[in-house]
Amino acid sequence: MSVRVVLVDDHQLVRSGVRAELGADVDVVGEAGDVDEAVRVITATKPEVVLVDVHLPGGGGGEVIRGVHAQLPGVRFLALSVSDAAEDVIGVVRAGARGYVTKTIDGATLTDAIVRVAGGDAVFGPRLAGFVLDAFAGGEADAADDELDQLTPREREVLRLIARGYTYREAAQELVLSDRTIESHVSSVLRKLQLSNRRELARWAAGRRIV
Amino acid sequence: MLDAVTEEATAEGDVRDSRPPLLRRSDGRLIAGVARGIADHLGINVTIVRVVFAALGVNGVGVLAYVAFWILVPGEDGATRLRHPRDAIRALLRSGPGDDPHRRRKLLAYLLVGIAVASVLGATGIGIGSHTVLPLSVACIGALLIWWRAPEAQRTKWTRDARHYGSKLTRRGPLLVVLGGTGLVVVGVTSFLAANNALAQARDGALAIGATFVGVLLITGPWLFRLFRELTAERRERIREQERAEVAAHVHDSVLQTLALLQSQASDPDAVRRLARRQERELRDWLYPDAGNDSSTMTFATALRAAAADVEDSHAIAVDVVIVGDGPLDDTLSATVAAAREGMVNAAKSSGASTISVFAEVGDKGVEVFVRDRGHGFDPEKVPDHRRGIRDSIVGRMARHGGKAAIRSGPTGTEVALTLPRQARS
Repeated sequence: MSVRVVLVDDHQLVRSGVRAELGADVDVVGEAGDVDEAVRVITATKPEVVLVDVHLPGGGGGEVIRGVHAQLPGVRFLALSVSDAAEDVIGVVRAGARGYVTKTIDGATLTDAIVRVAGGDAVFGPRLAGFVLDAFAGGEADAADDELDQLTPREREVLRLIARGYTYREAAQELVLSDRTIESHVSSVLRKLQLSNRRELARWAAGRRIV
Repeated sequence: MLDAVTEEATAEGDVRDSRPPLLRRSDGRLIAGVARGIADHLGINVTIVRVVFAALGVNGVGVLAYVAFWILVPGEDGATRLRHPRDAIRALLRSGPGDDPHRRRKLLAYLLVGIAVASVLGATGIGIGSHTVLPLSVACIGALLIWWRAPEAQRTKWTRDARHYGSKLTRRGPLLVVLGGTGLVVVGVTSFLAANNALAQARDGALAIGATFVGVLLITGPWLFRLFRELTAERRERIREQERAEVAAHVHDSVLQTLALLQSQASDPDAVRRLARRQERELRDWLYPDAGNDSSTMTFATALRAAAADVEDSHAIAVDVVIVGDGPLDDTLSATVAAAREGMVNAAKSSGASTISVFAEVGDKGVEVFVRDRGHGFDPEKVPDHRRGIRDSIVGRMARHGGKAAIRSGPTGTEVALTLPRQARS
């Protein structure tokens, strides 16, 4: 059964490009070009996954997530961005997106990511993994930190492999773990990224940009 | 959700002066919202402001001041405008939607305050008689005429002309109005002097100078004020215009040129990809200048990115670079960058992959760089001796600087791993 998806991007060209790239596993049930329209379309069509651009007229992807989440907590979001400040991408992820992919992603990978997000997994590309590693750097020594504020050595290993361009499956082979274990590590990292109050996170994001 | 948007906007807005700007209010006004606007601006009770206006109104000063504020102070949306003397009468006689509910009663009260103050002053002889007020009023009306009689566009033109030619007297119509107004001012000031001659012979000289000065001020004051305001607005506009021109120039030099090249080379996918990648990189550098991007402070990260960009450009391949941490570029790090570059070049030349992933981490334990492609791989043992790239430029170079290089290659691709322990750098 194909995943029902809504595309939210303010550029018609990008929407039709993405639509054309998506495989048969994905069924685009709606499109929107700004925050208000997105909230309307999503509430009307109740998709499984929303592909949302980080930058949107009317407040950005984070606003769409905040606007929909209360009514439809089951809808999952995947942030799509081309060249954005880390604080924007992280803002969308912290608002509730299950991951972040760049617009240069190829159709098969994007389809795969959407299916994975629909299944409840987190989608981490090399850039997001690198960002998390950087933002959570140097925290291992500080035992006083909250559990949410630091990565376990295993999570760090997984992220480093993802940053090196490994797929989840390749990372699993490399670490001699199951795919499921990798998924759970990544989901745990996503949870920390969304919930941590770590000071460095905000500072890092403000000072840098994911490009 | 709308609330959230508003909150965000407020949080992002500049923290400005907490004092509200001086604006004529459109609500709760008695005449034109002047007193209420001043009260809001100064943070005092509106009644105090109104009593002061009423008390000063005795000898005309209050009325003149009120009218002056009315003209000069910009109003909120919907505030009563004073474009014509008619407006003033209309504002006094009619009530509008934003008026104070007890407008008539309050106006009467303030009028009584004014009369009371007038009679007290009159009784004690402190007051200035009507022989002062009348000429002053004539002078002021003259000055105001100069502004009233010209439409808004004309006023703007005057100020513009004044800026360009040092004179606003460039047209006949305005000239007549200005002359008429000036005449009124002169008559007013003269009669003011005449009326006061008997009273204060001794002060004549000073009074004459003072009155002339006031007259000149009355004519030019509002104009200077407006001129200043418009100059500020124009300067802001010019800065905005310059920024826009700069963006336009940049977009033209880079993006439009690239788009033109893309169209002409549409049949060559490699060239298109290379152009697009380079344009993307340049645009990003321009849009999000990195703190460490200037060449004076070359860091490991900037050097590695530059190397990757170089490989992208010369080999028509995409290089995705992810860097965690950073450090100043020293000899050993430069060698590591050079080795990584060699790895990228190898991947670009012989792997057949379209993308190279580069990941570098500068951490407590040292520096690690991974160059990975998803090409068809090769057997490091079987590389002929004359291909010295891997042996010398990667493995040998890292070894000379106390690090090491490991190369893994298989049917799913190749990964070059460079490690440089921390102690090798100190």
